[in-house]
Amino acid sequence: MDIIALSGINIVYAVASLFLLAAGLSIIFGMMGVINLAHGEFLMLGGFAFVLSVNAGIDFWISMFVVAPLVVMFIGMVMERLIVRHLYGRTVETILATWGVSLFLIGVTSVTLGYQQLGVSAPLGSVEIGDYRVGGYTFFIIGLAVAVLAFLYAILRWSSFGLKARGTMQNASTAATLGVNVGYVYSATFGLGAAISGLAGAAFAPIAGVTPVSGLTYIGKAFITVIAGGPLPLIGTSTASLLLGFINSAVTAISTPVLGEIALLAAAILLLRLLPAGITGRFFRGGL
Amino acid sequence: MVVNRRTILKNAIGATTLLSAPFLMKTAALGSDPIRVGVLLDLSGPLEVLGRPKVNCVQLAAETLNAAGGVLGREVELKIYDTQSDNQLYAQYAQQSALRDRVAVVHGGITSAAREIVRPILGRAQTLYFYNMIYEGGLCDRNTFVTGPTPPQLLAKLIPYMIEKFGPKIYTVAADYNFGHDSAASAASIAAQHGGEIVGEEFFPLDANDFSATIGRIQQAKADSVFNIFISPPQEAFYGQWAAAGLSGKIGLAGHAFGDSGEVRRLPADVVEGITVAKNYLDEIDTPANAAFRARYKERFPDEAVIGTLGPTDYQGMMLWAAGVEKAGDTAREKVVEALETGISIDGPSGAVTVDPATHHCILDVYLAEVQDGRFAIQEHWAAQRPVENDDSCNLTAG
Repeated sequence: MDIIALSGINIVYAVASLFLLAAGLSIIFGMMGVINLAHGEFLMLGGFAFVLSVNAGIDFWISMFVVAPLVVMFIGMVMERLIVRHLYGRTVETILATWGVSLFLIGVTSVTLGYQQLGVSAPLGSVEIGDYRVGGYTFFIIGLAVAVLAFLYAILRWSSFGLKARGTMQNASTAATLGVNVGYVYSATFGLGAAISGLAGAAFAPIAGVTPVSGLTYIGKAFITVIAGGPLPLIGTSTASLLLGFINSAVTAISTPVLGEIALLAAAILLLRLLPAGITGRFFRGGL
Repeated sequence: MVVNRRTILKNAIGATTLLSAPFLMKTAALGSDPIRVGVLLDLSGPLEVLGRPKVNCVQLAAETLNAAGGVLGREVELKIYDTQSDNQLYAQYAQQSALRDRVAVVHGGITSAAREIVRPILGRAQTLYFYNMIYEGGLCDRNTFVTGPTPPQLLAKLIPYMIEKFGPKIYTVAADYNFGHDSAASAASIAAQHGGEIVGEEFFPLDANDFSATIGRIQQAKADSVFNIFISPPQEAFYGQWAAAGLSGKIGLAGHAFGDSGEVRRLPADVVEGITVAKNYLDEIDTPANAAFRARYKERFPDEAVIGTLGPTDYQGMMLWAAGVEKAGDTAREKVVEALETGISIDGPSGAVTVDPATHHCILDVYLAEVQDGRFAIQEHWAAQRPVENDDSCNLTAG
């Protein structure tokens, strides 16, 4: 019985972590259509911003919820202003440019911050479930994923910024004729995606550590999740996380982590063969 | 211009001196010609954390040798290549060291994968190779000397200790390459000999960082202790998640590569508390030889908080090679190998290091320690442990 509860928690945790890793990308790529190959480095920078500020004596939760998102949002907005802005609609050039940014960020952090990063331990203790123990931080990650989903949904669905952003992404020139400052909306939306990535990177830093190449382990999964999700950024990414996270952790639970990863990739390929436009290309049309 | 006998004589003497000068210069130069030593270690990329202290120790060894008048009266000149945590560069720089630099010996290689790239290249190029690392054991190569400890030295102490202290059930988590697999196999056979049992064995890709399912399975298997054969950085993720699940101190935890890059100082104190290791070297070894070594290291590299467990092996490897060259009276490979095979011995910071002629490994001291209050507390010490036990499959001096 306990083991079933434990496996259930692990599955929910896998779904939540997949969603958190992909949430920032779902805005930048899913919504804006920018193939941001530096997404992994946004996560990595969030992790570094968090770890450095905790070790500098700043409160754990302030570092995670304020410092890391703001730092990465700033970096993201600078990158949007300098590079991405000039390449909207030019997919191949965007891939090259953001890949270049990714390599640049890995190089700069390797030289300046290095691989000897001090660790931060995860707070919140542990919870006993029968004979088993689960970290309290596992539940925090699950809660955070739900909160991020609710926050993004609310801001895009009900705020005036969300309305302008959705309008701009659908048709920028029409939005501009209606008086929307399109440049500002692009910049802010990109910044929002970057901030969410920074938060996710910070959330994983205590349990996964952070090094300049940390982003490389995340980016593949993030892209697979967003692409499998299809055109609706939020519903797509969350349903894809649900499906792929479940398959990954269920297979891991009955075999090995390596087979779990393979199952995730196989499921994504199969999914895109059956639903080439992703899950929300077929279902849930007209949502967010 | 008046040419007389005296000027002709003067010119003739000048000319002779001039003509013979290259010959004189050459003999003078040969006497002070440096001995080149190739070093292949990672000074950038993820393995930098391991490579940096190793390079520091190689430099310290070379400077110590040179301050004492060099080897055979010749200066030791290091040719250090930064392999950038990239196995392809190991191949390239191994060739460069052997064929272009014509080094007398190559020291280096960190992962077993890198070693297996370097070893055949240096074998073909007939260049002596020193692998100064703890590793999974089993090497038997006349051109290669291993100065780091093997499973019969470390695991034969660590595994029985874990069984006695925590209980017979051991769960192994390991990196998915030759070091992880072979070390796990050694641990399993040693555990079986000591009444223990491996209740689970899992292998992970080197970039794995989510261990939640495994931590559940370890508890499900009711393991008494976990034996971790990762290398940094994934091992840091494992230790962090282990502590977050509240299992530190509840289930024993031994780390094969733990402490190799200053983890004890870098990771939070509650994460590392109680982790058990067996090593050839620890900063905390309390001997005059180690106190002197620590002081010299600190003076030469004032920014480094700790030496770590790996670097002194490189220091000992360099010193062993130098002793071999001194004994051979020559840097030629064959003569140095024969000199080393006489069972040469040096006193290193970890204790005496003696070449085992049959296997080209070393007889070393072994220390068992537990992390207590952010330091390794040494629990036991065994002097002069042999690199193989009840195994005569490798005999390089026969025939």
